[in-house]
Amino acid sequence: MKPIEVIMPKMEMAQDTGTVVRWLKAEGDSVQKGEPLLEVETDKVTVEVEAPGSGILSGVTAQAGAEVPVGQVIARLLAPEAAAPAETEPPVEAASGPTPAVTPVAQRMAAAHQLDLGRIAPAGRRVTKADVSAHLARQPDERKPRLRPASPLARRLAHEEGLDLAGINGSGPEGAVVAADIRAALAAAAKAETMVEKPEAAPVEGYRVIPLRSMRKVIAGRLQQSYQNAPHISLTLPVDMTEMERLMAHLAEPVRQETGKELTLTAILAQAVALALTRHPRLNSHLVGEEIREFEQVHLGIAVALEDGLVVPVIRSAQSKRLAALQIELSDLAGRARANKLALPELKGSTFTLSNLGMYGIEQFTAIINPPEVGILAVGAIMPGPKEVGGQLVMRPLLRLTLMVDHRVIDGAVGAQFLATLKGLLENPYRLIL
Amino acid sequence: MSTPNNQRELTFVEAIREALAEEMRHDEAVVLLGEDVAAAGGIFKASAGLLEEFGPQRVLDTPISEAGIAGVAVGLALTQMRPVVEIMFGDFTTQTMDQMVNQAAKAHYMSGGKLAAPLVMRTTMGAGRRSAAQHSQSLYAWFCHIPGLKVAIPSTPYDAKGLLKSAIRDNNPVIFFEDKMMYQLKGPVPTEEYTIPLGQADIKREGEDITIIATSSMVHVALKAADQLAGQGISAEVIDPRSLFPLDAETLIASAKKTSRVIVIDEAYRRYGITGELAATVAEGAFYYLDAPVRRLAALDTPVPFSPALEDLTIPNEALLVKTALELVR
Repeated sequence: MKPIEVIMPKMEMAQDTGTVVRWLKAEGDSVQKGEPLLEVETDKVTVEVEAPGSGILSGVTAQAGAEVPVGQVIARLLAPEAAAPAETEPPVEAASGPTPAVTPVAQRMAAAHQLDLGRIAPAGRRVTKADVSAHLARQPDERKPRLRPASPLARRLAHEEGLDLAGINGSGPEGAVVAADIRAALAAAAKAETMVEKPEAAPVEGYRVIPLRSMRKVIAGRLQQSYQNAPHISLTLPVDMTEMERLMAHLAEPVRQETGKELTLTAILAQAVALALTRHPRLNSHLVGEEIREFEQVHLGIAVALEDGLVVPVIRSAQSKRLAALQIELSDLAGRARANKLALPELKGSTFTLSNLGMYGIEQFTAIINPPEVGILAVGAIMPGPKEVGGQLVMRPLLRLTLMVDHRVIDGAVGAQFLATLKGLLENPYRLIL
Repeated sequence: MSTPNNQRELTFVEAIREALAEEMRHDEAVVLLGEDVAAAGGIFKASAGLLEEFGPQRVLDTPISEAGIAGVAVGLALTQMRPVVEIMFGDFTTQTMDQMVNQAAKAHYMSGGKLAAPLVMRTTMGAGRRSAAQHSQSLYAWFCHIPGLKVAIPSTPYDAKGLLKSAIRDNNPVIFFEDKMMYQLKGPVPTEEYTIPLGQADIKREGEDITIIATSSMVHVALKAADQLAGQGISAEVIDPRSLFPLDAETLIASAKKTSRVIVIDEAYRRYGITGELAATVAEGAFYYLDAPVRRLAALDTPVPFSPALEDLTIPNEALLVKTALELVR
C-alpha cells in the first residue's frame, strides 16, 4: 500500500501558509481515517486537521510552530506492515487479487507508471486505456511543489530586501507577487518599525519577546490599513437605560429558562442595532472599489477579545432573529472563539460590527472600523449620570454609544440619525417587541 | 529624442525622393532601377523628376522581373556601383530571395573581404490599402534572419530621409521597408543635410510606467495609445528601433529596466516574427527588472483579407494596445 501524504491544508482562498500549532498524534502512533491529527493555525483561525486515511504516522517534517506553505507534505501515514522511515523508497506494490483482462495499451501504460493493474477497477469487462487514465488522474500530484508565482522584478526585490515571498500576498495574475506587493510589504514593515520605539543607546534589559504571529500580524495590518484609508469620525450619544434595566430584570429569568444562558446587554444591543440598521441601511454597507454595497441582511460582527488577540464572529441575518436565539448564538460564538474553535466561515462576511467594552467599566471609547465595513459601534458601561427630567436634575443609568463611521461613505447627519433611532429603541425597549 | 531644427514639413515620399536626389548628386555611382521608376516616377512617385535631373543612364526602367532586377543590382554593386532598386510591393521580394540571401548577403564573406555589395533595395510593407493578400504583407522578418543583410524600417519622413541616406552610403546590402499607407504622412524635415545611422533607436515619447516598442506604422498607433494612457494617468514610453538589424538592443533594454513592463507592437505576422525577437531581446536583457510578461501585438497569422472589415481586424490597433497596456499596468 502506498503511504498516504498529510499535506498542509488550504482553508481559504487567500491562504499561502499555515502554522502547525501541535500534533495530536505522535510519530509511530496508529491513526484512523478522520481522527483529529494536528492543529493548524491560519491568519484567522485555528482548526483541527483530520487524518486523510488510516495508518502509522511517520516522517513528520513540520514540527509545532513551523510555518509551512499550503500543499506541502508534512507527514505520511504508512500501512502498518510498511511502517518505516519516510526517507526509504516506498515498497513496491504487490499485486492484489487475480489480474483482470487488460487491453495491450492499458498494460503498457500501467507498466510505464508502475501501477498495479489489480488495483484498477475496469469500467467494463476489461481494463482499458480510459480506466488507467482515470486512475492516474486520481493520484495525488507528486511533482515537486510549484514555484511561487512572482514577477522577476518582485523576486529580485524580495531577494535584495531579504523578504520571503511565501509571506507576501500576490495581487498579480494567478496570484503572482508583483513589485507593488513587495513595495507594499516593505512600506508596511517600515511603518511598523517607526511605530516601535527606537532602541536607546543603552538597551533596556529584562524583556521577553512576543513575535508578531499570524493573528497579531493580521490585526496589525488590517487596523493600520483601515485607519490609514478610511477617514474616521466619531459620534457619541448618551442613552438613558432606566427602562432597559427594568426590562432586563424581567427578562433574565425567562431567558435563563428558555436558553440556559444568562441574558447579556450585548444580546439586546445586537437586536436593537440590527433593527436600527434595517432603518438606516447605508450604515449596513461595504465600500468596495468604486461601489458602496448596501446589504439587505444584517450580518452583525461581534468583537470578542481573546487572551492574545481579537476575533469578530458573525451573527447572520441578525435582524430576523429573536432575542433568545441571539443570546444562544452569542454565548456559543464567544465560547468557541475563546477556545479557538471557530470555523473560518463564521468569521467572514459581517456588514457592521459591535464592540462592547462595558464589562470592563470603560465609560466610552472609539474603535477602528473593520474594513470594508463603514461603521462600528463602540459600547461603554452603564454608569450613573445626571439627566434633566421635568426641570429637575436626576441621576440615571446612562450608556454611552460611540459610532465610528467611514466619512467617505457616511455623513455625520446619517450617523446621527442612526444613533437617534438606536437611542429611541433602547430608551423605549418595548418597541423591540413590535 | 531627435527633433528636427526647422519647421519645413515634407511628406514621407517627398523625404525619400529628396534623399535619393541628394545621394545621386553626392555620388555618381548611385543609380536607380526598378519597374516604372523612370518615366512614371515610381508607383508611389518616390522617384518622380529624377529621370529629368539625372538622365536615363542613372534612372532605369526594368522589365517586370524582380529576380532580374535584384541580379542586375548585385552585379552593379559588386562592380563598384551603388544601385538603389525599387520593388513595388514587399510581397514580390520573394522573387529576389536567391540574389539577396545567397549572393548579396554572402559576397563580402565569400570573397574574403575583396568584394562588397553596397546595394539598397527599397520596397513596401503594410496592410490597410485594400490590396488583398498578395500586396499587403510585411515580410522584413525574412531578411532580418540573414547574416549579411541590414534592414531599415522608418516611421517618419525625418527618419526615412536620414536612414535612406545612410543605407545608400553603407557598404552592405540594406533592405529598406516603407509603409505604403504612410507615403502621404507629413512631418518636419530640415533643409540642411543630415543622416541617421543604422542601429540607433529613437525614443519617440518618454514615459515611466510602460515601454511600447513599435515599428513603422505602429509607431503612430503607439503614440495615439500613449495619449490615451496619459489620460488615465499612465505614462508610456514609445521607442522606435528604426532599423531591425543592426538593432539598438541597449536602448530597448534600458527602457524596459526603467518601466518594468514592455509591449512590442508590429504590423507583420506574429508567429516567428520580429515581435518575438524583440520581446526575447528585452526579456533576456532586463529579466530581473520585469514586473510582467513581455507582450506581443502583431498582425493575425492569416493571409490579409480583401474585405475591408476583415482586413482591419487583422492589424493591431490603438484600442487593443491601450487594453493590453492597462492589463500590464493594472
